Amino acid sequence: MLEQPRNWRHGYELSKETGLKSGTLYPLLMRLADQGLLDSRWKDSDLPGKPPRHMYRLTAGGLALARSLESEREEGAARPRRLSVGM
Amino acid sequence: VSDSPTVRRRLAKALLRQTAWILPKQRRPWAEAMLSESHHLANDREALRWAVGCLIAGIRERVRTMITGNLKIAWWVLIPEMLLCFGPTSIGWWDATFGDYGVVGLNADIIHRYFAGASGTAALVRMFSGAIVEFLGPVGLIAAARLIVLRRAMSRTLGAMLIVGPIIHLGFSITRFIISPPLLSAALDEVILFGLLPLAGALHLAWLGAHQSPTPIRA
Repeated sequence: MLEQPRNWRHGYELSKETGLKSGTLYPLLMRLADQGLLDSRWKDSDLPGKPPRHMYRLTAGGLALARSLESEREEGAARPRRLSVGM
Repeated sequence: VSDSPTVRRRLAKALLRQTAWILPKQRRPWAEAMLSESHHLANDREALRWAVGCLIAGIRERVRTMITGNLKIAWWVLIPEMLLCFGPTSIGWWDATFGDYGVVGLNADIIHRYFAGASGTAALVRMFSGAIVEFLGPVGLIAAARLIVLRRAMSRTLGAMLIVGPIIHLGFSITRFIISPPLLSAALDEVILFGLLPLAGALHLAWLGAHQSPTPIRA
């Protein structure tokens, strides 16, 4: 979602990409949508006889948050680990 | 040709219908999303797995709605819960008050005849205190009804009474058990029916009342 933020993705695709099962994925999507970080829309299916599909992508706010989290993660990984010495 | 794929697909559909039913009302569009997504899964086994996951998600959402404590808790969950918690105590109160051996049926003649001496006085005290403490059963039911129907939380004083009452009952029951260990089964019944259940109900009611405004849910 961060690499191609303009692309809409469906739930199963997100599940496959993230390795999250639907039981974990949907509560996360709901939470993100509640917080205005996720945009969703219905898209007619390309396959005949199939119902419309719910598609998702990050909003501008979601994208900004994801990028800041990503950079924090990278900084954390680049920073040398310090051993805390206790008494 | 095996018909198991069709069975799996039907089962998946049934589970997703259950999910739509379990999910809180404001989440119903997500149930549609889950169902439509399952139609796009070519593999029946995968569709069933998807549906099971969605059902788990539905249950998690329902539980989360309940534990975040807004008043959107489903009435069909709260009503049986409150009946379970306060029903036995209410029946106990009715019996202790208006039953064959209830306190309302007592008069001077009966007291003089059957409750003479220290043990008789102790029995009388136990009867009256039981009727008073168990009165919290119907009070709890009324408080629950007010919360469900009128969306009005009980006062702090009433909440405290509903919590302290079962605790006192628990104390008495445990003391009885310590004094007379053979009464274990009776004491256990009392602990559960007139102590733990109403205490759990009162705590839940108090908690729901204290969290009336919906709180934002964070991941």
